Amino acid sequence: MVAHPGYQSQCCINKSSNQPILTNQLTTKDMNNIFIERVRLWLKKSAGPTFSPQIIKYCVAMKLFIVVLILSLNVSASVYSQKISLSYKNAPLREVLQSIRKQSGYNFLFNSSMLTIAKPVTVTVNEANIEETLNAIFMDQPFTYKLENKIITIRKKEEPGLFEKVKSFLKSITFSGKVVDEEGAPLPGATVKANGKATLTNSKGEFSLSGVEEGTDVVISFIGYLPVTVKASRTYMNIRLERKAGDLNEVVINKGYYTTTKELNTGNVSTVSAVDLEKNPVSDPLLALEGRVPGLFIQQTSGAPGRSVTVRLRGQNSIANGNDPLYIIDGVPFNSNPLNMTSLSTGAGGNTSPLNDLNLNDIERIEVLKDADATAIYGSRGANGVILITTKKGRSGQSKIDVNIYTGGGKPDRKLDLLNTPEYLAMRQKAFDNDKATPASYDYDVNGTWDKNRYTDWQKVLIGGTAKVTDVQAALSGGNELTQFRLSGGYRSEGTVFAGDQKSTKGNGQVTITHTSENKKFQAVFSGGYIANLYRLPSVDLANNILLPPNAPALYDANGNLNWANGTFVNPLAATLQTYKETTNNLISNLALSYQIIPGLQLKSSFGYNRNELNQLRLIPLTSVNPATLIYYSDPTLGRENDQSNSITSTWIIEPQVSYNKNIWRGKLDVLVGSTFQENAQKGLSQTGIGFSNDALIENLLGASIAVINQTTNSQYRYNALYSRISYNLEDKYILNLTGRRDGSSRFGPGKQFGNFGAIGAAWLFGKENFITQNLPFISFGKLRASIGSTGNDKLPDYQYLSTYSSYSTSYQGTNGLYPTQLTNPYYGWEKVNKIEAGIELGLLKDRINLNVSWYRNRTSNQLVGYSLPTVTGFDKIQANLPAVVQNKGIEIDLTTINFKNKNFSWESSFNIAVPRNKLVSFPNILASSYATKYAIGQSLFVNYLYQYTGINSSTGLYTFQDQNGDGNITFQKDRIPIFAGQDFYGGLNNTFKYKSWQLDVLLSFTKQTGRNFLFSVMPGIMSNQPKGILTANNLQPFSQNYGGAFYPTNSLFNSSDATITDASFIRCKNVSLAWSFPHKWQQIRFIKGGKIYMQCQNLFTITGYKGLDPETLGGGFVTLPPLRMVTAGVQFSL
Amino acid sequence: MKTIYAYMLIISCSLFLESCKKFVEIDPPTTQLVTVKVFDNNESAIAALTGIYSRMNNDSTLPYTFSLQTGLEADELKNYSTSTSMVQMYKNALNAIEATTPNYWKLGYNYIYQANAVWEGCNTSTQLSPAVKKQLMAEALFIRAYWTFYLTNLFGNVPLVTTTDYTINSKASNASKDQLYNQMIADLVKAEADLNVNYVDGTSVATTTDRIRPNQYAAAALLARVYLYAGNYAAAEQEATKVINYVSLYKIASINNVFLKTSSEAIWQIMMPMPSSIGNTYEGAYFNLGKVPASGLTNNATVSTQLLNAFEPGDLRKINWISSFTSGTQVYYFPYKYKEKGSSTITEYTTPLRLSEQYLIRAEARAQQGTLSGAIGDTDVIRNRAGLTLIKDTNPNINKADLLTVILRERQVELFTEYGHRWLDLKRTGNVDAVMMQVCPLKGGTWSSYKQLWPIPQTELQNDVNLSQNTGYN
Repeated sequence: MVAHPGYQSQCCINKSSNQPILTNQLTTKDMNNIFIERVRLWLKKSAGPTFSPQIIKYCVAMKLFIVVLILSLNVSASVYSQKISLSYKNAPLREVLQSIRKQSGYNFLFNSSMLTIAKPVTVTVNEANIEETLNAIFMDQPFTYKLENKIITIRKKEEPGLFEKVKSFLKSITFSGKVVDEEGAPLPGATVKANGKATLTNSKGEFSLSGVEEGTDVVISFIGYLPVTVKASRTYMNIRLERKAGDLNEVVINKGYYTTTKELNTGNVSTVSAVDLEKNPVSDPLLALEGRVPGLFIQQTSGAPGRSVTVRLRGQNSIANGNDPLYIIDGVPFNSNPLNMTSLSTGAGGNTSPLNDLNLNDIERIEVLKDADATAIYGSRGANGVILITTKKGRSGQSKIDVNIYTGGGKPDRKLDLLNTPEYLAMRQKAFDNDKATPASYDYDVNGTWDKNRYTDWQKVLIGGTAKVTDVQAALSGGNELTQFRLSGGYRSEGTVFAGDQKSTKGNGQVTITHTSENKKFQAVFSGGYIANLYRLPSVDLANNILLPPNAPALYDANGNLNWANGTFVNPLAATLQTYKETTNNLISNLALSYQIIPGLQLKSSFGYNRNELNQLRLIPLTSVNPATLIYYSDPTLGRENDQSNSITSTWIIEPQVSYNKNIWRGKLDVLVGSTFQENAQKGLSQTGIGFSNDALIENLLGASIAVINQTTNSQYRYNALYSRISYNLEDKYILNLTGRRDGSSRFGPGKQFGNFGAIGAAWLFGKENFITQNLPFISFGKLRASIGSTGNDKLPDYQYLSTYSSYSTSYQGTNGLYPTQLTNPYYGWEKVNKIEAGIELGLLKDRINLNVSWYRNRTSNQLVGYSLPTVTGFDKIQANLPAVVQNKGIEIDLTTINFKNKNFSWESSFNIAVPRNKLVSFPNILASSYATKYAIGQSLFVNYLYQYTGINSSTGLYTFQDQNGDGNITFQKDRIPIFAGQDFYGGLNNTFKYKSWQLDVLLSFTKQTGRNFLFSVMPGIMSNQPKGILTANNLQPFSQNYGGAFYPTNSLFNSSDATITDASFIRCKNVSLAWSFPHKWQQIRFIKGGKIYMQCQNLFTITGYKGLDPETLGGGFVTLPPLRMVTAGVQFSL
Repeated sequence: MKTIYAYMLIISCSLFLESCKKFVEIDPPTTQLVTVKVFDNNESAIAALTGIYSRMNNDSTLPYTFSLQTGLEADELKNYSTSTSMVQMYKNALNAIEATTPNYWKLGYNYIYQANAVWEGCNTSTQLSPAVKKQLMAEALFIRAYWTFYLTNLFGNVPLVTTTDYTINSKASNASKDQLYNQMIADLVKAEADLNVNYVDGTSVATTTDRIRPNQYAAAALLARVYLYAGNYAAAEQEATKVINYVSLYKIASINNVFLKTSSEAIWQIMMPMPSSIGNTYEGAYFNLGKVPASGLTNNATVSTQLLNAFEPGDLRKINWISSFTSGTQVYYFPYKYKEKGSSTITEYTTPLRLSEQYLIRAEARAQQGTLSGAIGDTDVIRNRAGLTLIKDTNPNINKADLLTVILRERQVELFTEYGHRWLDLKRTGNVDAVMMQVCPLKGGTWSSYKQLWPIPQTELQNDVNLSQNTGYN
């Protein structure tokens, strides 16, 4: 409905009027009164008293009708988009104004007869605000406008007198210049305004404003930037705009199937943008998130490149299955499970991380969806949270090339202080003395077989190298207003710290194209990326061998071959001669089409495809084989081995959706209905060939005299859902968001496939209420939000409900045998997660301080577990629903402050902390279940049942333990108690300092936790090196080397006691980044649009009291390569 | 009109939901076979059974590892391995927390599960040919009895498992020795009745020369052993006699032919599943030393002094079944029953049941029943092949106790490193404490009587609350 000009002329209003005075807070009634008053004024002025009161009344009534309509639209206008996009060529002004009204909700008051002198409008604005839009439209019109309280009143321009005209002509100049952002990139579409004259910058950021008086104030503004006022001059001017801090209304939050702004968001979503991601010289995007997102716990499992990362969002919901969040890359679900085939052992550092098949530099932002409101629309897949990854898109404007290059190196940041040879041999001797024994045939280190004078620092030899890293990324982007593109490519090479020369490389390419039709109704967005990784690693983690006796033999013999010391020494370097190679290829593509059928009603569909492939190859040449193990082959060539596997997972997804929005009453209603069809297919083949005639031929399986297929896999997963969202936003202050979903998953047996889930979220922006704005003006933003809902979890292996046999790889009597694959239970159903969350978001002192506090409680019931069974049943588990309820509760705090800011120097901090509490709420009949001594009701799932250490018996010298049930024996079943080993809290603190062109970022991550201490994992005295601490520790029982002696059993109990759980808290300087931006005058140089030189450092130092190699990877008694300290230097520039 | 639209909406919605339902109903994986289909035809049903034999050979190179570890645990072998699992076994220092490596408990019950699954699958199937069905069900019972026998003798009062139903098995409690032996006997009696007289080939019906599937006499031979262990000497004698008397198939072989695939005294053998890099047998591959013993999991043991000393001078078994490797002045003796180390020409099969054991079973059973002459005669058959003097010539009036001692020592030197005979014999004859008190300290361990039973793996106790640990273990 338009304020129809026709009615206005019927009301005999043919003269522009004075502006009515409007108060700040208007009700409909107020407006009507004002209007009646205004009509009277008009009538008085123009027609005098000839009009009868009836006519006035009639006119007023008519006008009232229109005004009411206007006002109802006005009020709701507040929830309209703040951005206006227009594209017209020689269009009538009226049509253009109508379009603005539709998009913005602003209404126009004008005399319709005026339109006869209106000039045709040619205008193009993209996502501009109302003023920019109006400036652009009215620039050449014989009208001026006035914007007040969402009403735009249009008047004819006053014709200046001749004298004024001449005077201004003499003084007027043409002011031109260029508007750029902080990085020096041009800002197309910025508004340049002076004395009623206005223009927009072109695609190069340039503008030219003619006919302004010299020295007059010119205001340059752009969305998201602080406006700048300059004096008009005859010289060309470069104008730099600074970004506004924390403009909540402008920050768009992606919630997957829909977007909202940070201000209006009802759920809990954390965003990490490219600016922060790019500070990390890492390959795997997950590693760049550590310490930056409250409640997101990231644990690197190895320092070898591309190894898997443990990710837990708000603790462990499920006892057994699928605690990984859902990853969505541009709308396509991404498999986060390693593709490694179980039949082929991995190389150093374990499984590959599929997330390393993404390119950090192509990521625009990562959103972490946590609560029910944010995740419910993902239904079952989002039970453990959703991590949305959005890739960079092109922007309209001049084409731009971005280049980023860095190089550097890494080393382990910690080292164990181990015994040297004399200390080690003394320990061994003492052990034999204590056991009253003499070295046996196999005690090679002390029985004279090995040289007792040798010393090797195995840490230095095996993991003391430098991992060199080089990363080069380039992107070309640009486009016009309708079509934008971005092409990018990159290369990365990363070495290892292991002995030998292994290098992993990564190549990536990405294309995104965005296109909008001229009438803005149709939009297509395509993104496609391809990444290939080649990992070369030792076939085992050499860090496993750092506890070798320090006098173990030399690695090479006199001839330069591996030294096996007559079969008495398993040479750790054999692993470096055994090629272990993994190649991954990842294709991920998405096409999103949308069409606006009628205003408010939009049809959308997204089509995605992802194919991720992993090839593993392990070659065992004869030179790497211990000759002692070769002798049982009739033919030594059988010692040469080629193990390889190929594993592919592919996903397609189609998601049609319809959305509709409409203004109802004083608010805005959004409705979304959609459906998901998804299929994942996984295929794998693993085979082994042996018996190659020489080492050079080993890579070709064809040369094998015996070849066997070890494992084949082929599985299918299908998922289907119908989802819906209804949201109502009342005056941008009260927001209600309902989401619901019906999910079907092929992982459940017949009749169990479907489940219903939903959530309610609400937000109250109390900061906008009068009582706050008037009484507590220092509160610039305030929001209370809460959500409640449920999601399901189907993250379990496929086909668990199906009783099947698999084929054995070898034949018996000429037939390949079959074996039962698993125990089966067709009756299990959806695991259910109920989530509640409440949060407060505060912006203080013009958003210089932003504080978010969230409280949540997730309860998971109907737990899907591989229920542990005694192997008496033939297998050790069965898929089943457990009646147990697990609760994850916690508080997350996120505080961002601008501590200091002036022209040259600024200091900003952001701090986050998560305090998670995990609890097993109920577990009916736990004591009769196989979890009786695994979990305890009322305690965390992160407990270990351990003996309670009570010190050393002074007479026997043996460790003693609490006899919990007082039966005189220490028994496994009765005397262990649950001991917590996990995180108390964790988080991060980031400080950003800017001084002129310099920027320093320091990110500290911290974790307060307890964990298994490595110190006592091997009985001191046995043929294995020990930390120096055992020499001085006064709480150890005598050294012993006898597995059958008196000391061994108590040592075993000790290893299963609470004495091994110690504090493993740490503060790690996760990331330091120092950058110097190119000065602005460099932009005069023809090609350079901006850039910086930087140094970055990952894991610079760690403060911890943990006794072991690394408190992050923990690893207990098993020694694994810790995350590396990586130092890099690089340059980034735009051309 | 409105109602028509409503109906259309309802119909289209239900069609949509129906298609959703179809969408998430997927086919079974192509790499696996649905269990009901396995027992739809002879071929796959046979494969489900013979798969068990494949695993009994290939899982953890079981024929070698089992013989090695029980040999290390008793007084047969000397350890050179630094592997914890070997050292613990050698020093009689097992504990409940660390299950044995390999985990015999888990393997044994997995084979029993598979055997039960085959029995149940065949039992309900109507599509198998009757002969095949009968043979497979009988073999399944044979396998169940075989593994129940070993689990009982290694771990003591283990749970008795006769079904695949996990809801029952997961609550299983320790069975008594009687229950266990009664079940073994019942299974073997049934198996003996139903098994083919001849050795069958891959069709489970046609006869072949390979003795790699149990026949009626394999069941009788195992039954003889079970009766002997259960103390039912008359029945043991009777079953052993059945085998011994079937001379058209079973004859004592010459000393170097005993472990050949063509051996005339083999009662039941297991073939190496093909293809294999090892070729013949794991015993041949891993016991035979071509170098000094190594620290790893194979080629890591020599024959113990106790065993070497147990041979009488001139014993052909010491000459032919033990070989040596000399390095400097050090001589390493190793078991040499299986001679092939990886030849691709297959001449040997591992042999769990052979005729000589039947003679020794009958000798013992007869001696226990007082028929000493018969016992002497049976013992002499074995001594004769070993090139030793015969008891009937040297000591015809030997008393029962002495004869039993002779038979026990004969078992020691005849059946060494063959699936744990020595370890089991020491225990069932009550000699274990006397012998191990001597031997264990020599191996660097400390003996206690409770160690004759292995500890039940700790996780089993955790997962089955009805199960009790063997005395002596925490």
